Amino acid sequence: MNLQKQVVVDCYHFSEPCVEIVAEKECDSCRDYVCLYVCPAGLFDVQNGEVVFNSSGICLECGACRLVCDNIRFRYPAGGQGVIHRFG
Amino acid sequence: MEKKGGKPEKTKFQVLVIGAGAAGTTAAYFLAKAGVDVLLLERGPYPGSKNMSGGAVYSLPTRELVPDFWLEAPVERVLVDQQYWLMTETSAVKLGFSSVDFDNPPYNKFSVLRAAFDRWYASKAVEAGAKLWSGCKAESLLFDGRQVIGARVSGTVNDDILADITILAEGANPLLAEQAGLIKKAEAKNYSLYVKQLFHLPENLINERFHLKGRQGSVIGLLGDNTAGLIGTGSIYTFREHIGINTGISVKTLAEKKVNLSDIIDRVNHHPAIDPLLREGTLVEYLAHMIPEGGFNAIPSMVFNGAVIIGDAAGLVNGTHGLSLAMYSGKYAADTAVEALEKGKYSRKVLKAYRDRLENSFVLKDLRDNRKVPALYSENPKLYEDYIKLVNQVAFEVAAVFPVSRREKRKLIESRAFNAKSAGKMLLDLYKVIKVIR
Ligand SMILES: Cc1cc2nc3c(=O)[nH]c(=O)nc-3n(C[C@H](O)[C@H](O)[C@H](O)COP(=O)(O)OP(=O)(O)OC[C@H]3O[C@@H](n4cnc5c(N)ncnc54)[C@H](O)[C@@H]3O)c2cc1C
Ligand code: SF4
Ligand code: SF4
Repeated sequence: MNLQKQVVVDCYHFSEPCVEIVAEKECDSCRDYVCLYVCPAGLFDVQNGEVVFNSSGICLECGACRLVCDNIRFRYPAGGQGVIHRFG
Repeated sequence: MEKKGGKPEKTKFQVLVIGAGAAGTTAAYFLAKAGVDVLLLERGPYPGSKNMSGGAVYSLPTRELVPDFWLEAPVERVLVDQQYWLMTETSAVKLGFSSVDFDNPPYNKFSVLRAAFDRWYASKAVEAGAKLWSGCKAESLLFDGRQVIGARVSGTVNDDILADITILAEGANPLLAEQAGLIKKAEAKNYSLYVKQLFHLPENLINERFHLKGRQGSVIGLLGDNTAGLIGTGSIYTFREHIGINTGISVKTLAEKKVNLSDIIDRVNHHPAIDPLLREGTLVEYLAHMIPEGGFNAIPSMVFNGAVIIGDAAGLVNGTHGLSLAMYSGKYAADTAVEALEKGKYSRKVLKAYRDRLENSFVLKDLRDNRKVPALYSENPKLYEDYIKLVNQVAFEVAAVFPVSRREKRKLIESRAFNAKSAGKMLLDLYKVIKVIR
C-alpha cells in the first residue's frame, strides 16, 4: 500500500499535531493497537516497540482515532490550518 | 474587514452558526433572508475546505431551498444513470436504471465536489446578508449558568462572540457539544469511516467508459467484496473531469477486525470490474471523513438553553443520506430561531419547536422508520455477504453455458438459490441493504 503517495497529493497548511497520546505508559500495556489500523493516514506507528504518533504527517481530520481509544485526544487544528480539500 | 488574529468590528450577534457545511450554511441563509443579524463561522480557510461527500446533491430538497440552484451552483454532472454492483472478489452483478428524463429540469440529482459547492452555497448566505468568518474556529462554548451565550473563537478573529442563539453545525465530530457536556462522547459503533480517492481523467474518456453523453453522469453503489467481506458500502461517482471512489466501514469493525481502509480502497481499485474505469487516471486527492450511521436510536439531545444542534453533529443521517437532512435541519433551526427572537426568549422550552419541526418532517419520520436497519445490518454481517455471493453464483450459472437442457438448468439454479434462502426473503433483504446505501 502506497499511503505515502496518497497523502502527498493532498493540500495542507501547517498545524500543530491534532492528536495527543494522553498517557504514553498506557500504550505499553495496550494489546489492541487499534490506533494503528483505524487511522486512514497511517499516522500511528510502532518504533522500537513503542507506539508513536507521526506528528509531522498529514492528519486527514476524520476523528476516527478518538472513537477507538480513550488514550487519544483529538482536536481540530487551529482556524485556517490543517488539510485543505481542493475538491472534496 | 478583519485582519489576521485581529479584533472583530463587532462581537455580539443575534445568532451564531458554527460550521459552514450544508447544515450551517442553510441556517445562516434563511436567517439572513429573514433579516436576522447572523454570523457564520468556518474553521477551514474557505467553506468546503474540510468537507467531503460521495458526490450527489439532490434536486428536490435543494431546489425547495434555493429554486433553480443548478443554473448557478457549480454542479459537475447531471446524474441520469444509477447502478448497484453486488461484488465478489472476481465478479459483479450489475443492476441499474438510467433515464434521460432525469436530464431535464427539475432533474433528479447532480454530482458535486464539496470544496466548490459549499463555497458557492456559503456565498448565497453572504449575499442574503449573513456575515462569514472563514479560517475562524470556535474553541469552546460560552455559558451564563446553563444558558449557552456564544463561543470563544480563534484564527482570523480572536475574541468571545456573544449570541442570543448558537447553532452548532460542526459536522460528524460534535467536539464542542461534547466538550461542553451537552452530549455524551460519540461511540465508535455509531460511525462509519470513509476514504475517498479522486482521479483526474479527460472528460471524453469518462464519457466513453461510462457510456455517457455530454454532461450526463453516472453513480455506482458498491456492495460486497469492495469492503473485503466486512459490512460496509462504497460508491463511484463521475464528475466532469474526475472519477471519485469511496469506501466506508463501521469504525467499530475496523478496530475489531484490525483492517485499514487505505488497504481496502486499494484492493477495490484493482477489482476486475473497477480497474478498467480508473485506468490511467491521476490520483489528485485522498481524503477521509466519518458518517454518523447510528440512525434514529443514536440521535442525541438536540435542544439546549440558547443552543440547538443540526446536521451530522446531531446524527441526522439516513443510511448514507445526510445532505438533505442537514439542509432541512438548518432550515428548521432558522425558522425556530426567528420565532424565538420575536418572542425574545431563548430557553430550551422555546427552542424545542426545532425538534418538533424535525419530528413532523421527513427527517425524523424516515429515520424513525429505518431505525431497525442499522442493527439489522450489523447483527447479520454474514447475511449480506452470503446473499451477494449467491446472487453472483446464480448469475454465473445463468450466463454460463452448460451441457444440460434449459429446463434442467433452471431447476439447478432454482435449487441452488432457493435452498439457501426463500426467494422473497432474499429480495426483501437485498432491498433493505440497497435502501441503506442508495
Ligand atoms: C464519503 C461520504 C459520502 C457521502 N455521500 C453522501 C451522499 O451521497 N448523499 C448525501 O446526502 N450525503 C452524503 N454524505 C453525508 C453528507 O456529506 C453529510 O451528511 C453532510 O455534509 C452534513 O452536513 P453538515 O453541515 O452537518 O456537516 P459538514 O458538511 O461536515 O460541515 C461541518 C462544518 O463545520 C466546520 N466546523 C467544525 N467544527 C468547527 C469549529 N469548531 N469552528 C468552526 N467551524 C467548524 C467544518 O469545517 C465544516 O465545514 C456523505 C459523506 C461522506 C463522508
Ligand atoms: S494510543 Fe490507544 S490504541 Fe494506540 S497503542 Fe496507545 S492505548 Fe493502544
Ligand atoms: S483524525 Fe483521522 S487521520 Fe488524523 S490521526 Fe486520527 S485517525 Fe488519523
